[in-house]
Amino acid sequence: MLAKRTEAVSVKKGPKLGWDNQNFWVRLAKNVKRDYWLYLFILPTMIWYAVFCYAPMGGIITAFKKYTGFTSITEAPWVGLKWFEQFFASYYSTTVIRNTIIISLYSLATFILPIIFALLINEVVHERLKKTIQTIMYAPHFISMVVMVSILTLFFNGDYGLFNQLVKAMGGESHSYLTDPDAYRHLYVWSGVWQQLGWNSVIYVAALSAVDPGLHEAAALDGASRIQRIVHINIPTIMPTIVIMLIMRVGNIMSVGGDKAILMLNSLNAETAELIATYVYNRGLLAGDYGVGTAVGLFTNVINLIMLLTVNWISSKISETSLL
Amino acid sequence: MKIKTSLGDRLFMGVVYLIVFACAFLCLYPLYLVLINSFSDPNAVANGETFIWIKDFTIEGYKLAFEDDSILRGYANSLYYLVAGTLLNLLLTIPAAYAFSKKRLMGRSFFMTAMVITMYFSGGTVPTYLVIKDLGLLDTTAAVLLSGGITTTNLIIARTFFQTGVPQELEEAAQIDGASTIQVFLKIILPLSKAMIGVITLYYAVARWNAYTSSLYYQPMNSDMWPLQMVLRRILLLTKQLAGMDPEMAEYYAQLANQMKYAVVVIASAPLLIIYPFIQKYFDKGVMMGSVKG
Repeated sequence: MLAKRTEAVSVKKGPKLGWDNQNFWVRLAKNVKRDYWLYLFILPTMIWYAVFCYAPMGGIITAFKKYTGFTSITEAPWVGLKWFEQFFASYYSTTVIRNTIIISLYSLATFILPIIFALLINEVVHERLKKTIQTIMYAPHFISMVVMVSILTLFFNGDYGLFNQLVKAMGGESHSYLTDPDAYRHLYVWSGVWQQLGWNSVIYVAALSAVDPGLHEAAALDGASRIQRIVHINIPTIMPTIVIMLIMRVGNIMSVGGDKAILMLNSLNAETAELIATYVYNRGLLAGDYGVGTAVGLFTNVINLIMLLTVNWISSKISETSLL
Repeated sequence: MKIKTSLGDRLFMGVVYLIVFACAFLCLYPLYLVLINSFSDPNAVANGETFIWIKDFTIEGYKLAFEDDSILRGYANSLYYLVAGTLLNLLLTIPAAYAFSKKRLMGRSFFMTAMVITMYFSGGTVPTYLVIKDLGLLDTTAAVLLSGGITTTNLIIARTFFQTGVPQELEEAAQIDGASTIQVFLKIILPLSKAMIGVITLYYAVARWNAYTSSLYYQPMNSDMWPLQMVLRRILLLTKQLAGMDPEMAEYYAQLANQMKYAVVVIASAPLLIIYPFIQKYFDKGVMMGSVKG
């Protein structure tokens, strides 16, 4: 049994006996017979990907069809780019796209904060203090989105919000931030920073642990200050990690998380709070406008992909760090 | 060795400690506020007397919360999704990740590419919804369990671990002794992978406990099977919308919300916030595993 196995492996590895010498199906059959457990292991997983990832990708044709949910998608008549035209012709298309991009860029601007935090916490030499502070900083990450938005309500509600009480106690006036379109973006982005700052810094802290202490000692002996050592040793070390994280972040520029936006949206702040994600949910799922919902989703996905590939390409040119 | 620190360095460290402590305080204080308010009399809370410590201690909010059927049911449902869902996640992730760590698996790179693509491109919200609808899974718990089946990042973490963290010699030795793949996997590989499986379980469990969009999208009508998060959403965030529908119910929910909102937030967050510090040591490992792609 074992002899057979190693023989098969060496046949596969042998440079001369590759693809061409053996029929694909014969090889596959041999492989499956030998390693049927491995194939059984991947079978449910592959079915899952087919059904829940690739079938929806096929469902993208809904964007080009008049599908009402009563017949099958394949039978539904083609409508060309009707749903795209309808969306882009409507006045809210500019609003939701603009809102999404603004909030996304605003969030992107806070990308640097976990990096700064990691660089600072890395300077704390007292190991237990460092761990304790990190543990504290992780806490908000484990709060659900519903609870997060509930906490925002409890703090910033115009009637009973704690923040408003504090302002009133100091002689100010209470303000309903949750229904204020001008406050929406700040609430959205900074509550996200609050929730993810510690968690997002983990990867940079981990990358910083790879810095060679000898470098620091040598630099210190040469009279480099702490700031100089951070700038010239620590930051270059974690640069590849930063670039990778940035690429992945930019690749999501158009898909601002719907989970939070759906919860924060109300009729009074819609002017800034209606995003592509909430629009797709309201129009595509709640109103059952499958064509428009799919079309807008596809548009978002394509922009994301273009952004990802562009940034990845630029990065591979400049820094030789790339994702793909 | 001791290097003499300059004044500038000491000043810098002072600033570092100041910022780091300020961050920790800002992270913790809102949570602390929610906690002390949950134990304070609603009137004291309304008067803004509870910024430092509990005022007029009461557990009325918790009583009300635990008397509410929908919250209890939501809690039970969430536990169900947590256990059944995480189990399903592990079954779909770990064996496949092991298989994908084997170079002799034909079509390995093809399948891996197919999986990685889904990280950057998806059908979108509506087509996914339509697939679930076509499968007849709308308003069933199966829709929630299955739609959150696999997180590709976790699968890659697991595969990377199997490739690099498990000594090949052990497997080969067991195979020489006549052990089959499944025996090797169950008796040798899994026990060696406890740390990694711990990390993955944690990631999945957190996602399961906090998930609400899968229920919002795929079982909007099946409110008996809503997880706690959906129940919270109705109680804490939808009171205004309810006002237009049924005055009596809206009044009831508004009253309820006012009395127990802090308690409910605590109840919903407590399990994870109590557990995570104990398993924190695995996080860094998980991040390290995830960052070694290949």
